[in-house]
Amino acid sequence: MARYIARRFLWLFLVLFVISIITFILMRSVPGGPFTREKALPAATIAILNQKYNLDATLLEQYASYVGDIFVPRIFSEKIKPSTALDYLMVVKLPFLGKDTTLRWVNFGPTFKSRTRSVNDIFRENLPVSFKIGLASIVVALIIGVPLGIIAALNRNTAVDYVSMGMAIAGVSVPVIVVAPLLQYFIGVPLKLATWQQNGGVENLFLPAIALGLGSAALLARLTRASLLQVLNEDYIRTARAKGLSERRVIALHALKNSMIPVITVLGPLFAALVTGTFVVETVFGIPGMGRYFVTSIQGRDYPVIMGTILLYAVFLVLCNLLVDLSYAWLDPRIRFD
Amino acid sequence: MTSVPHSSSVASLEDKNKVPTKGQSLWVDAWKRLRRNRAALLGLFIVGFYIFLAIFAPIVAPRTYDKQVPSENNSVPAWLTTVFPNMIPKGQPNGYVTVNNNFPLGADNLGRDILSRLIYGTRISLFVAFIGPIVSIAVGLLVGLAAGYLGGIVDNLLMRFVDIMYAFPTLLLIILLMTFFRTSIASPQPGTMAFTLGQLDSATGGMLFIFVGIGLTSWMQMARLVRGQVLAVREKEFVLAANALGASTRKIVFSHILPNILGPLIVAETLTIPAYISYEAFLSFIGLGVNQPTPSWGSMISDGSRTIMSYPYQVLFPALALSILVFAFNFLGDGLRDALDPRMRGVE
Repeated sequence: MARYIARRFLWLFLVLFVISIITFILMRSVPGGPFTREKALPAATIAILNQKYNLDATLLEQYASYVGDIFVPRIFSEKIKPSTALDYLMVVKLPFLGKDTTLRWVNFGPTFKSRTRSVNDIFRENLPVSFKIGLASIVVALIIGVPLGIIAALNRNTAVDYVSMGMAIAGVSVPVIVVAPLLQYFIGVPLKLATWQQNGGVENLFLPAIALGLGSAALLARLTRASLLQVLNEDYIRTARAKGLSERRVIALHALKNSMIPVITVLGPLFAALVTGTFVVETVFGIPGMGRYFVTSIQGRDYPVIMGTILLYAVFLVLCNLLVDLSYAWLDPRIRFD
Repeated sequence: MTSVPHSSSVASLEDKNKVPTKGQSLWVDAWKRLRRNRAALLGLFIVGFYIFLAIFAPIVAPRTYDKQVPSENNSVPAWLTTVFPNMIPKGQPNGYVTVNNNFPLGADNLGRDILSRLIYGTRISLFVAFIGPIVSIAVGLLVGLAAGYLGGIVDNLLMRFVDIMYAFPTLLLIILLMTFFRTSIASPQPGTMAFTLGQLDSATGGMLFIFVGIGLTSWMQMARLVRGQVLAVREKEFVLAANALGASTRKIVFSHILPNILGPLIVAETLTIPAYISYEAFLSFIGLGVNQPTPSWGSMISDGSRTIMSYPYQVLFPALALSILVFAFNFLGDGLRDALDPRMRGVE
């Protein structure tokens, strides 16, 4: 088990390496730079900016220093002035080496669009918002999707089945760019929840979570139904029934747990995609989340933000998939890791 | 879920009553099963209707999609003000909406006919629906066939690459690629390939790069599927026989293996069409889709959602058009899966 997890973490680094290289090459091949304006800046200004952000070095040096800032921990012996270039996510005090000695790690660099914020600031301020909404939408998806699928499977080929699966197809069919504005108008306006309130609390999550969760709920419903139907044909279910267990026990204890494997499988990538922010829902509801940075950073050639968001997503995805794979062993005791 | 009203035993009885004179091909058989599936037929009918609209858009649409009547912008027909009581007509207290019956579904913020833009908008969505799968199959098939048939280190490398690409956020990659294409061809010299591509792109209203972008980001699933299918088929006796008869690798792959794995590929791609349509709508929503003034439902929804509090119909109509088409393709895809591979019925 430990070896398996270790191997998966090695794999994570390989994934991050390849993805960061592809992204780096692709984004630097896009014409135009972060300081390209409609009214061109003076050449001297651009030269200074390029030097400040290390953009005049060779591409290889830039890539190496970017990766180094993220992965290599640094020890600082004196206090450092807070700046966007030296903003580290992890700061560990090392009092035994000196009063102000600190170990600092994970620096995603500055953002070119702001003089006072770093990519880490974006993560700190905007990621929690997206995370909350993503989590809420997963809850919505599970609460609606799984019971719907179970009901449909247990009433196979009856009107109940057709109606629930019809609803599921409808849910899959309506893209989020349709759901979000319509929810906002028809439910948000009457309930006064149309846009994100700075001071507000949990009620703000309500509509974005539904807008994001409905499509996933429909997907989960279809998966649950198909998987439960398959599991109900297995021998161990016949054994459980033959033992004289009540139908409720057979379904709840024996069938359901095993049938969750495909559901958990899609839940991993779904979770990674939802908690790292979604552009459409955040735009429509005016949510200060991560989603817009995925789009605006590319349009503005904000290189550190592009790299940061893509790497963040990849880390989430690989970790979620690892959790998914580990949960298989719990869901189905026959599964073991070599 | 879209299962046939008849049970399979009835169907097989019907088949037995007819004396089979000759073997039925897979496709005739599949069509027979599809015809019995009412939901799939409804889907087929709706898709057919949209195709009709797309082809005959200039005849069907009451106006052109780019004709602007600035004096009548945001004007709505009378029936819409009864559907949306919040849109108060001019003349009443707090009224702000121009009511005239010049536009059957109202006009947008530039005074363009929404109905005509909807009808022309079917073109882009259907193009993506049919060309997206072709690009994805083309790339996925090459990778999948190579990995599956050649095996060994080729297989290992290609599949690990596919695994890594899965960790890429698809939409980010599309946005990055689109930005790359769009700006790279912005001001090239005539005569270069970039220039030709740019010409081709603007001739199609900006659709070319949408296809390329979507295709380059959605082939991974296809590659995995093809590889799996090839692995299953290449051990069959007829491949061994072809090998023994001295057929070349190319001949074996393309005339013996490919036809035998086509069914599942078509099913998989039909089930992915809704995703392609949604991708295009999303790209247009964030402004990376088709060039203005070519209408796309995604950009109509995007424009409309800015003024949704005052003019909700500008979102509602493209939203309906988009949802119905995706709905139809979902039904059709489910039906095709049941028809082409009855064993997969009800299994995702």
